Amino acid sequence: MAAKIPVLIQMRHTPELSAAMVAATLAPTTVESITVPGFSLDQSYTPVKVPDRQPREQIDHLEVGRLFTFDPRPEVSTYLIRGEVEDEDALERLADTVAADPNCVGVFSDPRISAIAVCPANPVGSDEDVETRLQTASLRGRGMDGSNVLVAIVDTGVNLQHLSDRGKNPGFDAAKSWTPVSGLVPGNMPVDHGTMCAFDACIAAPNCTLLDYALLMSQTPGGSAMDGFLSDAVKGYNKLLSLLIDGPEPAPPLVVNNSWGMFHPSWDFEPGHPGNYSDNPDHPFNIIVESLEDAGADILFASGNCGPTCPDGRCQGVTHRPIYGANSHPGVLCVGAVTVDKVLLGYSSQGPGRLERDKPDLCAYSHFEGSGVYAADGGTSAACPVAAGVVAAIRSVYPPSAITPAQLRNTLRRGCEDLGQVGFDYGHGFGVIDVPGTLSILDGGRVRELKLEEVAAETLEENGDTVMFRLNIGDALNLELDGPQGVDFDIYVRKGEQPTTTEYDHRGYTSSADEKIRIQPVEPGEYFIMVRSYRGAGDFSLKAFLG
Amino acid sequence: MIQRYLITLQLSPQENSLEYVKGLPGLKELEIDESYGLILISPKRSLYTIRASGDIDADRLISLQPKVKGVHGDPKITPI
Repeated sequence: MAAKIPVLIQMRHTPELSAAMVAATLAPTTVESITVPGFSLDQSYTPVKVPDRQPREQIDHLEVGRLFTFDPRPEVSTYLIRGEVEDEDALERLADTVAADPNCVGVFSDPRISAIAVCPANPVGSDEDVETRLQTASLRGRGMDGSNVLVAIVDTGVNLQHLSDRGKNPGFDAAKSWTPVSGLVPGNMPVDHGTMCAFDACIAAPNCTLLDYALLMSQTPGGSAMDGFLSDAVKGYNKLLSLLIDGPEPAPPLVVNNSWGMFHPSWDFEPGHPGNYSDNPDHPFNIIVESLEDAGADILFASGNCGPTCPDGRCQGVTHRPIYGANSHPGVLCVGAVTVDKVLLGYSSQGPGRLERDKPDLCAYSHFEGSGVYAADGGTSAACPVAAGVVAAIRSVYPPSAITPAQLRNTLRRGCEDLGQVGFDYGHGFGVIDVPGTLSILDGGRVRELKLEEVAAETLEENGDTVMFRLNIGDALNLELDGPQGVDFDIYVRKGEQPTTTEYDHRGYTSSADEKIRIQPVEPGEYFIMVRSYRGAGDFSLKAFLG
Repeated sequence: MIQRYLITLQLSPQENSLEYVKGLPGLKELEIDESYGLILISPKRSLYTIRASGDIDADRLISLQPKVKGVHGDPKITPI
């Protein structure tokens, strides 16, 4: 006998459905219009309310998330009920009945679900598959290949000869590279983890200029052959910072890849201890990360390999909130790992993060055959430079003077292909990095101002090409919030009434304390502005002006 | 194993040398790693860090020396 087909039916509000939400069972009389031969109602599944969803207006093109408003009032909500149909014929009859019933919205499948994460023993796909998934040809067609972009591989060192042997020939700047001890030659380090990272960054950014930051060869007393201490990382980051603030203007775009971290809380002071690193934004390394990002660097960290399905042995079984310290810093892009089939890798560390909860930000591809350093370029260690390569490619055309690191992170998050739960989830973040989605948002940002009576000249180069103009036809109200570093303040604006976190006309969404809102055209009247701390505390200034 | 710390200091431009830091009350008694040096961590906030080892009473050091803004751990890190 064929298996029955589970279905969900979405229905509009009736007082009876709303009341049935809190009943022990769902009486068939409540939904008696759905009487179809071959359909059986699951009376144990009481109706589930689905709030009404409407697109939000006034969405800035670089905003992330919260693109809809949700209205939970019963009368505008819909309700899900559950049942089974015997076969395809019964499903067709049910669909016809639902379509004809004004109280129904539709019939949907109710597939079996389970925690999906894989722990493959062998590589899944190759670096060529990663290139295909990333659509690197479309990047290169637009000049996005990493040219004129520095990519610092903060790791165990890079071996350029190995990269060349594997077909990667990026630029290299030895003078801007760094080693924690003398006697090491940047670019000529033993073939190991850092070389894998460099190879993977070159997948999307083959013409970038690599910098070798052999942090994990520190040989600081107390360490072992392939590790280091956070104090070494502070020193390496100080060198990177000096590249941006002490060099000639404008500073070159700098992408910093970090496929390293802490594996177990016992390596650190306990949370709450003033000397703690993992949960403490005031630790010197977390401060210098903030400084480097503020100076214009794009910083990426691997989320870690302490995912619950198959954690690395070094996690010692600790898989709860394993994204420690800077790996979860609000100023970095935290990268989890999926296969080239877009399935979450079971070792990919899951959020919430320690410094910022909504981590990882996104996933990138890993566990593929690529650099030849290992059987597979695996772990979030490989996913991180894959994403860093995409960032470096984009930076060839969009330098930090055009799009700040925070704006680029938001754009990458918004451009993701959603995986897992709808929207953000702690396994996949906002989904897997998606080049077309990201480029589409960046293109949307290229809006040219058109003044009244100006004759504008532009060119359309191919089918589907667009040029966007913006015509300013009235005064605008501008609000600028300036707050301290390391915290996240938001602005809510409402005309005529005081706003709340759920009732507002306009809102600023950055993950910092600096917000700008432009309301245009502005209507005469009284505006209320609420400044709220989403995370942290500190002084701020607020300025309002027309223009 | 010897415990090692990162000590955060807020210093004016005239003060940002390791020699100056080594002479500060509360700090001159510590085993400061001179090979590590004085590292700028936040230009905007004039924050620096040094590496020191030994038995450090963080609360006492911070109360004794107002230029010290924090005493933090130096945990091990490793490739992921």
